[in-house]
Amino acid sequence: MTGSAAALRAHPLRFLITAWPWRSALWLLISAALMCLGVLLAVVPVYQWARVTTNAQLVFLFEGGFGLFWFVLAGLIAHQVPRILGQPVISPHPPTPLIPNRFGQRSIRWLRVIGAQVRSWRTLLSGVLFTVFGLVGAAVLVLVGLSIMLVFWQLPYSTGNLAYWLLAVPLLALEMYLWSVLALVGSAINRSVFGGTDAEFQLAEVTSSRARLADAFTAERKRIERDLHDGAQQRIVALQLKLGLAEAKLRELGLDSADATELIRQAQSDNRQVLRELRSLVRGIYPQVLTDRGLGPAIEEIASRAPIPTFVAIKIKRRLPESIETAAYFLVLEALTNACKHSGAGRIDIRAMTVAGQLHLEIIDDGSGGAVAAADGGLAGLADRAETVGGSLSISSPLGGGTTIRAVI
Amino acid sequence: MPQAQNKYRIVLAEDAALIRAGIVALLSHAGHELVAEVTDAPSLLTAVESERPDLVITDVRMPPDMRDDGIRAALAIRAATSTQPVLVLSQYVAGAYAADLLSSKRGAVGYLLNESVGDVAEFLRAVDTVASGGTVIDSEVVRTLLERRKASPLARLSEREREVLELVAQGKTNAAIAASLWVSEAAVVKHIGSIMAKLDLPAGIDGHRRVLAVLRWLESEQG
Repeated sequence: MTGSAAALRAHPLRFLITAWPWRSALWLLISAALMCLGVLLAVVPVYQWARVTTNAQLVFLFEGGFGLFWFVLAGLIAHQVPRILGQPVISPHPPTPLIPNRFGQRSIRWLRVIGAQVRSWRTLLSGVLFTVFGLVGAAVLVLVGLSIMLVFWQLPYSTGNLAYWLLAVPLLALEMYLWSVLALVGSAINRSVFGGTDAEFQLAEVTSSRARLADAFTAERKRIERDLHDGAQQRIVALQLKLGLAEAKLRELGLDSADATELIRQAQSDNRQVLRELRSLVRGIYPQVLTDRGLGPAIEEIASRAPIPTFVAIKIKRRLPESIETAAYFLVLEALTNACKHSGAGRIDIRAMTVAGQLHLEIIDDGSGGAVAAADGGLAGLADRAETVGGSLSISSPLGGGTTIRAVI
Repeated sequence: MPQAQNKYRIVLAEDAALIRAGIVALLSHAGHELVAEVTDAPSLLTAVESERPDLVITDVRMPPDMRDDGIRAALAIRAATSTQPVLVLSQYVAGAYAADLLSSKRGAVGYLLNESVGDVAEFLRAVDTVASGGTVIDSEVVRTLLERRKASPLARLSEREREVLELVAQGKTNAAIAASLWVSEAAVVKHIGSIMAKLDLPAGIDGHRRVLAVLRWLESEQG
């Protein structure tokens, strides 16, 4: 249990001085507003209309259409309002990646998620319930308004008036509890429509926070890669240039004694080695080709560096969301590294293709097999990578029969 | 400072100030004329449009996107003019970038790792080669391609033949290969003949087409 309900249960008295009662009031206010505004919008035009037209069917049609629109709208809002009470929003759809890519796929994804919600009957039903619950919300708000007026009219405010305080403070406290509990009741009804037990809600929360963490790690890797590229790498290249210029100048001045130029050349070759190491370090942190060209070329790039002959077949038509590209890339990289280290294979095959909106990956070697997924081993790490982006992994590795790793994301 | 035999009008695109300053110093000492120095891809396109230089030298990662903007600008320039010589300086040994550049039918392209600029004489030679219509591929890129194929028909090549093949793939002329291996040009011609025969490549071609043939062969073997 989280949010408002947890706060109420843990410290019933302190609850009154937290933001939760006011958040609960906001929750009720939204449902009441939906109710009142809906009635207003449904009744007023029809009333005007009915005076000038005799076509009752048209009026019914309009009412039906408006009702449907209004309840779906209310349902979409109802899906988000648990946030106000600090409750997780459960979604049957995978979490949206935090880092938008260049083509605004994040917003397109949002549109698709909302589209799926609009078509769902749960949205409609919860919209109806949320709106109807607005009657309760409206009633509570009226009650609060009336009680305040009553206190004000009957007992004119004065700091010395003990009776005023004795009446007003407990009344307000009582009403705060009343509306907070009502908001929780409404939220529970809402939740029962969207389905899901506490465990499911927690799972939804954990899943989305895991995806956020993975995105954060990717962002961090990219930042480090950029820092190295803009910093150390460029300085060393500039140094290399200066050494080259120095050597050329010595030569120009006729001072190119063998040992002087030899020293410069040695420095340059040391520099080259540093750059080579830096490059392979940077590649391990976040490969530029993955950012620029996507998964296919990035996989080809790592395959071309593998010490065991590796053959790549890729059928991916378009760029995939960044979080998936990253997870798939590191999954293939680790699988390939494992195969090269342990399998003793003579040949490795990597296949990647998108089928019906899913990315299928296969890493097959013809080595000794017998690979097992230990809890902290590399293979378990592969499964983690797949699951982070909502995928799954299977490993088949009979002794002496090679190893096949399949992932579907 | 070695003076280049040909003086070229050059447009340089490089967003890192330190490296840009170094390259400018080097090129102008060699007697080339820097007609424009730009720091991002769009201004590179404008500069090439207005200056019509003899050679474009560009970095890969540049504003505005900080991705492969330089390569994309180079491809756009080639698509517009088809003969504009372009030399790309890259931070990475990435086959995909080199392959894009080499897909053009004509020569006058180069792909070098940017630290190779440190070897001044070699770099100036590359500038000369690309500006006069030749092809230059960084030895490290070629080496990664070659290293992958130890078990392939390359195994049939002798050590000397492999060396020659590496230099051919870098876009060197027979004379340049002869000079760097300290052998006669006739010996180089003989080596190349036997390499081409062993790898089943068309004999008797020269220049950019020869480089392309070798690189295609290396890439097709990749599987």
